[in-house]
Amino acid sequence: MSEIEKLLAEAAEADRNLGPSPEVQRALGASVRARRTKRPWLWAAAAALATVGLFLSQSTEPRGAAVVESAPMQTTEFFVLDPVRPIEEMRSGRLVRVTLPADAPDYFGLPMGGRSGPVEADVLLGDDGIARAVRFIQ
Amino acid sequence: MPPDSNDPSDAQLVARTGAGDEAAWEALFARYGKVLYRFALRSTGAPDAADEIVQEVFLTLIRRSDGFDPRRGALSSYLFGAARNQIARRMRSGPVLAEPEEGVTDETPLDELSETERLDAVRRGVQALPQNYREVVILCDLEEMSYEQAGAALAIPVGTVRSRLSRGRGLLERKLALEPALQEGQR
Repeated sequence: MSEIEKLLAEAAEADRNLGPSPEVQRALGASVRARRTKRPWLWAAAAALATVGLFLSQSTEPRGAAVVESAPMQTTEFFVLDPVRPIEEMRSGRLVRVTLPADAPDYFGLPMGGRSGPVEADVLLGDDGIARAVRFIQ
Repeated sequence: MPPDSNDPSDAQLVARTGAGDEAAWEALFARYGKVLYRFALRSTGAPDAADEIVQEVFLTLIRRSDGFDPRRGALSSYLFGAARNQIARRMRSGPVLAEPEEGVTDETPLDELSETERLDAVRRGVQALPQNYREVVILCDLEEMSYEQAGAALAIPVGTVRSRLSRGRGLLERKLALEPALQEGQR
């Protein structure tokens, strides 16, 4: 084995356990689960919300500070929709109340609780209009 | 990476993944997730970019699983082809910048620092190779694929793999000869 092959073998050994981040794995797993439900509502909802977000971001309202409407009802935690752009790195954003199909919480592993009608949710939009996270109104 | 004869084929796993079968997805990801990530990482040098590339490639496969036709080629060709397109797109839009690595401090033992520097020099050298040579060096030398597997992944004949590998190693050797970290290691 030549010197260069030995060096490459060392590098291969050192990097053997490198792999995609857990966030990517989770996001991809969620995409597979969405296929199982055969209700790709999330993609449609995300696209619709991106449009809403773009519209809002182009409105005449002053920008900068996050606009968060008060939510008197109990809510779940936020579920990340876009692992590539972490919520922690957001400097501002908007919360938009939407209505989603009854089985939407199931996608995130939340119990349905016998509910049959549509559910309300808050979607957190970044300034770029991309949906970053969602929480459900309980 | 290639499945045993008793394991489900790639085509079976893709079809089941498209139908939402999580076990099939996990098996598929176990076969190709890490190797694709490392391929992207070694090409771009940026972990974030590698993550994004893996996500894009597999999302396309999950959403349009019927886009993979096993009669037209191996799944590895499909996945690496998609990854190469993503890598090329990022390279065209400018160099991919990686976050500076943490952890190397004044307190790092000399031996360890030397080892780290040597391996970093090898990684930089591989990344700086022309694409044709870089890809075969990554797959054959760093991923330890056979010539046949690398040829299937890159959709090129085995003879081309051999010649590119030989040329790539030669180029890399010359690049590394200029690296101070390696010159010190040889003293």
